Amino acid sequence: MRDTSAFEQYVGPITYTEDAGDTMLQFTIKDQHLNGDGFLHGGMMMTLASSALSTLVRHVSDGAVSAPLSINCDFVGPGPAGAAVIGRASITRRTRTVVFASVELHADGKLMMSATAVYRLESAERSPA
Amino acid sequence: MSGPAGFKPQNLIDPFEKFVGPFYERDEEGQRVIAFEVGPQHLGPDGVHVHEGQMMTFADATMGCTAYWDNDYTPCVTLSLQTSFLAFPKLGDLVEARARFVRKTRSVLFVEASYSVNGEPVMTATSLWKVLGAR
Repeated sequence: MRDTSAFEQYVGPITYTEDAGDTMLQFTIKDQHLNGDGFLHGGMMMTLASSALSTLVRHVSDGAVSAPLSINCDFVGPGPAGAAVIGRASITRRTRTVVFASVELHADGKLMMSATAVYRLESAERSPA
Repeated sequence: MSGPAGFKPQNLIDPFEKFVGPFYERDEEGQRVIAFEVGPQHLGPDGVHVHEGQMMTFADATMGCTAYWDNDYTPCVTLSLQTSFLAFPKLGDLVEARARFVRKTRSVLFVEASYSVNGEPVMTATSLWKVLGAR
């Protein structure tokens, strides 16, 4: 599955697959994704992390509307230009109204970012306009 | 592009910020206010609200201005960044950022910021920055 939103299409391509209930992400770092030092910009790292998390949460939410309440990101290592990024997002806990999830991103095999998030779930009928 | 009234375009350096920008800036009695307008390319999966990745990119960029410019242009990198999403801006909304130092040490900077649309809060963020070259 590719690019589930206009923003992901704009900054992508980003590819998602499923593995044992987790969401896997694949992405290649190009020139437009870099910061002034020539490494992957933190904003693009967080875009990849949140996109994998949102894809995973939508997958487990049984049609409920989901949205992130909070996302916490740690920038563990750099993302060199041209590197292949692999991500894995996993559910930590799911209740009726919230989902806890985490994600790790690796660039050319080295840990680049870890993030945790809390999403809220709302049944489609009750969701605000 | 002239941008919203009262703002001037920011001279962005990072290629990714140029790619998802433009960002604008104005002074509000000594407080820097940075803004961007939600465009069709910024929207999330519902096609109505902004993607959280764009909001977090804006958080990183705007708190980075405080961490870099307001610390004598000393190079620094983001160690961690936390965001809480209070509401999701929609297409055409002007999102404003106001960031400030919470604490500055020689090697680590603590920066927080609040984000609003028409004066209504939409996101809060905190961040931790490593000052490069400092021990």
